[in-house]
Amino acid sequence: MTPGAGDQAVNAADLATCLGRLALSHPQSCALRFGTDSRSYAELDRRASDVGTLLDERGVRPGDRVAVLSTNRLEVVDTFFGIVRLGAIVVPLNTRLSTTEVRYQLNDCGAEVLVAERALLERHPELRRPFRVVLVDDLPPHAGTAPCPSPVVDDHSPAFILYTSGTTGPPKGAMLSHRNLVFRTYAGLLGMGVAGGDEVWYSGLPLFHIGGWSSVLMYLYVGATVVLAPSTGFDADAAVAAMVDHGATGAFFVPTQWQAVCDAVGERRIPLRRMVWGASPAPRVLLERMSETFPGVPNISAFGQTETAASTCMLRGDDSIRKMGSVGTPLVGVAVRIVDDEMRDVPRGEVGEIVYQGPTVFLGYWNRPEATAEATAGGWFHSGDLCRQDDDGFIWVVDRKKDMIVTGGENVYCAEVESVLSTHPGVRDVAVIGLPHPRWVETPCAVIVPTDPDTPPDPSDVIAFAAAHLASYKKPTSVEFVDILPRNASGKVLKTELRSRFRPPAPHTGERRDAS
Amino acid sequence: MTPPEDPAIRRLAFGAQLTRAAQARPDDVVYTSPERTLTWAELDRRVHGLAAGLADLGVRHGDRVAVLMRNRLEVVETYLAALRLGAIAVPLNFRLTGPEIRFILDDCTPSVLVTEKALSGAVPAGPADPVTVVVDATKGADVDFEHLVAGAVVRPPVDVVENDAAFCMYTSGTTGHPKGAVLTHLNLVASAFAISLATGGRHADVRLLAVPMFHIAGVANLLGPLLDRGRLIVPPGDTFDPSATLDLLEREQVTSCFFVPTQWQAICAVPGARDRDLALRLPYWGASSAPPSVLEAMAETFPGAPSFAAFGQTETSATTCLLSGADALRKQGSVGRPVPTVEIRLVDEDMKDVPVGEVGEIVYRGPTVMSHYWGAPEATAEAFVGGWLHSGDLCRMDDEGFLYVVDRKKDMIISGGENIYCAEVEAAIDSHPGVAEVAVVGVEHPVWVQTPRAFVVPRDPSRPPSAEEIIEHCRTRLASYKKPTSVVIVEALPRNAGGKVQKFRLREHGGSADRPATPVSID
Repeated sequence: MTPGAGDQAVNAADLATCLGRLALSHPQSCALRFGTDSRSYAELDRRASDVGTLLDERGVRPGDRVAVLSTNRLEVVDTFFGIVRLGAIVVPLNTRLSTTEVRYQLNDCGAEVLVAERALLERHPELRRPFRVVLVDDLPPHAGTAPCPSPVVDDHSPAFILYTSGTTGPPKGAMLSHRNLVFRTYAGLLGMGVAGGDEVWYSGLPLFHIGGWSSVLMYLYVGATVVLAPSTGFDADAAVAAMVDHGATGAFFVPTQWQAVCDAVGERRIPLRRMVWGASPAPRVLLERMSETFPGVPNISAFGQTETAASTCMLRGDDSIRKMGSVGTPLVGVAVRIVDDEMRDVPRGEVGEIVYQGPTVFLGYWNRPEATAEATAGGWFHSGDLCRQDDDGFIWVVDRKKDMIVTGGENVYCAEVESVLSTHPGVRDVAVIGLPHPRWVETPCAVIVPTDPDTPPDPSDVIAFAAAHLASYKKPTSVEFVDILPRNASGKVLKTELRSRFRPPAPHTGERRDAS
Repeated sequence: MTPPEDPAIRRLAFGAQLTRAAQARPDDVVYTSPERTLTWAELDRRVHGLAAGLADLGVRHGDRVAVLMRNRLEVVETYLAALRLGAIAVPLNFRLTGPEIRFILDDCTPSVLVTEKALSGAVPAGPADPVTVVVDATKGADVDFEHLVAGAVVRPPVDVVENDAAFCMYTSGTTGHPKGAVLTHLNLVASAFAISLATGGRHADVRLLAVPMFHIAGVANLLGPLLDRGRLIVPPGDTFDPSATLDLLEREQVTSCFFVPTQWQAICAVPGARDRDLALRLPYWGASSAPPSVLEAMAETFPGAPSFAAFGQTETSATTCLLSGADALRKQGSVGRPVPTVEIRLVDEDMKDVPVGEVGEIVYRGPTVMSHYWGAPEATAEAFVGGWLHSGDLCRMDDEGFLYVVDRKKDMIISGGENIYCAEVEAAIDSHPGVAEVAVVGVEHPVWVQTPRAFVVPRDPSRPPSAEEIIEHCRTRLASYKKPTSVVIVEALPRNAGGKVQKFRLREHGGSADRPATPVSID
């Protein structure tokens, strides 16, 4: 089959083309708000072009990686679209990472240009030199000198690389194509029942998270308005005020944030049409509190991971109470199986790993063919979540194959923390487990076998040691000492045993839930 | 660096979708017609067998498989088997005449034609005939469909990518000869998502398929369940029975279906219609504007269900604009607003945007725009001039973004939901020895909305051909719905200074079908 003339241009579906379409169809509609600042679609498109021109002048070419290190602000969205317009790849960096971690990710993806906020750059002074730095604070660049190049971008090519850790080793860059994100947008809009351009979205997530960015993209796709929340510290009262001011019709928060929003809202009215949560389990009392505070507003929980461009399953409406604890049912286009170690389907109701196919499954890990092959063994993406499916088709997460803690909405991979702590001279052996936390849902605890049992290291010294090497949210908040770690016959640490041993007596339990 | 493509994991092509649906819900019913009920596992198994059987007949990736049948299960199965092989399904309108079918077969040269006994005789022999598979074959040289389904050896799956061609749908144009619009898997998937987004779609719609499966609307509908895991209901027969339709809507808990306004009116008028236990969520109407009385009856009979009228064309994988019932009352005559993913402009001859409120040609971009016209690079290039698909529809847009079709650049009549290209009818009439000049226009018709009327300048004014003669002349050359239903003999055609026929003057002159303009016309 020979493609027709103009094939690429006429039916192109890359992200910059999508924005161009919106700038044509909704030029004056408000695309984005942040504080008192705002962008119309036409302005967003123009600023994205200006950023594209600037980056082109700095030598960015199709396929190049451009890292972005910034807290939430409008310029981040300009920059994301400016990068993809050039056919280059956005690498958003978590603003809470340590210098070592940032450097690792920059080196791993080979980014030569870093778009960063001045204040964050000052926290990582040694990052400046090897990179060509563009300061977010200096955007927009002087406009109009040269038109932004707009090469034909294959929607199958990578648009984003988002770093995520796994069971083993250092973080890996998950590559998401334009098409991944567009189909994630379609599925998410259908899953959440968002159709009209009259919607206003308030997301409590940072843009460097797939959950934050994909939800922004979703609302922009239908010409709606997105209100960016500050990603520096959560203030429930300010969030409520912003939602009231901008007339938010939808919002995403992690459960602890919803709790705070319910506490803060008082007599104020928010015209919500849906309230969305995810990242960690929400206890029944919270769901009830949400429905009392916002009567009649559908409750939606989202479940997924970076490698599937965010949500794969949602739990909606009446099901959120009837099937509480379930992650719901797969979104349109997402195929799931629940399989054993030999990729055989387990009988309905039994536990297996949930694996995925579909247009939102990532392209692979950057420069990690082995890890990609492993994650996609048998032609399905292996989530690492152990699930069962009930007779009604609802999926329940019962455990994780990947050893991970979700704290305050952030994923912490135990292996990563353990590998840092094992380099501490006072530590002979270490296992990191998640313990319940009233605010963060879970928090890391280091269980340590000291090198010298008579003089174990000072717990605060261990915590400081971790903090020096890792993002702050990854450091253990408590340390326990043991003589020996319990292990099974093949030498694997029995973390379940450790968790029950060190879990404080508390009424709260819940199903485990992954980041959306 | 683009990583190597994994064949299965991200696949959206319809063969992969069928495999997954059958895996996820093997025992759920997917297809119901008066004759049969089929589960996903059964459909998957039959399509698998048929695909292998077609491969045994030599069908390969990129080959064409023509389909000439009335609505029945085997149409769905043949499409899916072709798609699973990476072959291109070519649906044929069963109302076409032998020469019209022959033209298409010669144009796209399918390796296999799947048809039914009642229609197989309609295909005249040609130089390179496809292997003919007949679904209800009794004996003879034809290959039996069921034999293929049951008897083939298992073959390794064919990798079909999203940008592969899925359908080649013939549509006429200004030139008179039909052209095959090639639609990819991705075109049709994007179209399904776009419609769902625009209508607040959800999982598992139950679609009543009352439109022909050879039509782009039928194709889009029958592929729907592959994405949303819903069901397809195919009603009995060719005749429309409002009471039986209502029973069917209730019995099968249909959520989505299309009828023309007069059919909806009849359904709503069935006594007790409002008290039925219906699940109808998306009643579609189209082919003509719905009068307020019909929209009101629909709103009362199906409370809470937002009705929609769809507008589009084959080259855009069907729908580009939707008009909701709620808007239809205050936006009479509008085709609605564009659906998500479809990018539109209204442009003048130089591809410059016209100001709001002024008339321009509507041009399209987006993932639902066809790949190309089969074997016609010049026609493709012409259609894609300036990087946009030129629809030929002249529209204006109001300040709320609603579009109104005011005229067509392509000279076309829509009669009973079928597109009739005037140039094609004119060419047929022109071949009559008694005709010197001819122009065909659409005039109002109480049932078909519009119907063709021919204005003929006779070679010999003293002995003009009769209307019956002209219509009979067309009958052997054109599908029946294309033939004029009235003929007006005139001394000359009105022309502008440039010599172009002023059809608007003929339309004014033409009146409506039941009010003939001149005594010489017949109806």
